[in-house]
Amino acid sequence: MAQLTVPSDLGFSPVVDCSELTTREINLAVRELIEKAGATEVVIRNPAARHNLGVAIKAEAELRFEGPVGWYAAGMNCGLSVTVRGNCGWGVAECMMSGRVAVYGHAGSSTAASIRGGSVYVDGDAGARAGIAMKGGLLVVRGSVGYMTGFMMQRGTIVVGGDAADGLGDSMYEGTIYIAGEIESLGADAVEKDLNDDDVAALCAALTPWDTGLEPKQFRKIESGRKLWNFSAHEPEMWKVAL
Amino acid sequence: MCGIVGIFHKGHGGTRTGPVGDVLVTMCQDLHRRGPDSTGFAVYGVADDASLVVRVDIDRPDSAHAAELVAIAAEQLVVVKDWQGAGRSVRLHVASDGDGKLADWIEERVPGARVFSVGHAMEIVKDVGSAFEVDAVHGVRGMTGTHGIGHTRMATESRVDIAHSHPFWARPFPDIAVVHNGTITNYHQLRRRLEMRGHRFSTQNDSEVIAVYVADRLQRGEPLEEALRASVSDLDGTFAYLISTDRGVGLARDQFATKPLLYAEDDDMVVLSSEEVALRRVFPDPALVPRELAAKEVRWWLN
Repeated sequence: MAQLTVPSDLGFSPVVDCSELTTREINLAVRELIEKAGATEVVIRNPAARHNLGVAIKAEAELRFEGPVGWYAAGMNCGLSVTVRGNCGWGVAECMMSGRVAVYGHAGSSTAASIRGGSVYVDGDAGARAGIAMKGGLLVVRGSVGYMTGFMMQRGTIVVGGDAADGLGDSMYEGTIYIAGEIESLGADAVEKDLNDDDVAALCAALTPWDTGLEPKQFRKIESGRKLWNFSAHEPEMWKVAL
Repeated sequence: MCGIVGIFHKGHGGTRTGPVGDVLVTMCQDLHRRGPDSTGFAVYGVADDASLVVRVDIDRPDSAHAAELVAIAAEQLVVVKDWQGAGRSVRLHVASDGDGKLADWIEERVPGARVFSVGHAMEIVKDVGSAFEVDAVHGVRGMTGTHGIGHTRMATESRVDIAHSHPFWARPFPDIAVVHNGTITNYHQLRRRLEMRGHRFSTQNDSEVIAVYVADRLQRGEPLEEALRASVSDLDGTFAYLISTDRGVGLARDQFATKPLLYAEDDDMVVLSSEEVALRRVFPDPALVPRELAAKEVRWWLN
């Protein structure tokens, strides 16, 4: 592959066209442009929903996908700001350490799985298990979320503008889920709590960057009931909750 | 892990056709990494109520002779209008299916013969290998039709061979087939129940039970929608499946949303795929926006 360089006086963002490149070539081109050539913004054309794009980059730069991306896009990044003009598949932004991912389309299952920091915004709907095992960070979904959203989340915040399918917040350890729409059912040990001033402030901060049209007062708060923290096999009621 | 795909042309009373074989082959090849063991297709031409097409696999070294044997065996029960044999594959054009007995009849009389499909509109083509490899042997790309489904298989539940490849025909019901991604854990139980109702299965594969389960309900007069909804409760395990009839395509996803399945539709067609990447290979237009099925969701499109 040709060596990629970005002149300092370049008046436009470098473009990577995925059409004739392998996944490895695309990711290497992006990494070289950002980490070695010093590009502050890279445009990706024709991603065509291919998997594993824009991953494992440690830099504060902008990455713009002009089209849908596939599974595990923008995962394992640190500091990168990613925008997707289209849908994304399963596991977008998985294991992100910091940075930002904005999806102007729908997201598949396991959105923002296990992120430790940063923020993920989905302008459409997100699939099942959104925010699964989150260890920090923020996930904002303007639309609805699928089955078992927030499953086993350990820290961080999920904001849902639409409805949630069955099992919202199932077995969550800590963290907070705010939801404006209907909840089909809460998961095991997930409980609704009253909004306080800190929650309103947190919602304001979460919603401000995005044009969602949502107001903090529309939301309800879901947190862990913490009954599963200390599981006792001798308590029959606990088995009912756990199973 | 397997890959499933489908395409359905809407309207015109089921007479609008397109390059269904080409679309299915292209999408299945893109999903090849989801299942490299075998690939198969069920393609629906415009239905001919006065005749049926029978697809038979023959496990014989002398394939021309075996193909002739299949035609002779079928001729003893029903009128064979014409037939072609190529490699292991025999295609019979017959006047009737002998009240549903034709498949059993052929298999009993021709050692090694396995009937893959019987249909007024449907033909099932399947083989080991990738979509491109199956197309090279069987000429799938040239098949046009109103709709069709395809599958690329990673074997988990039964052996890697042609018979255990998808799609599975809902024996003995003409024109009904299924492709499935997942594992049905209670298929022994469902299969026993269906066998008690007189149904016969061609393989030990768990996915075959879905086809017969839904077809059995359709035969009893249930609308496809109700049969799909019932399947979500009755099938235990993980699944995203497509079922096709002479009129269209239905699909269902399990209660845990374990297996991926997307659909995208416009005024003229519906496209179905495990992953968007395969769909985009054929339909890059951003105006066509796919949507992932929710847990327990069922959908259907009929002409």
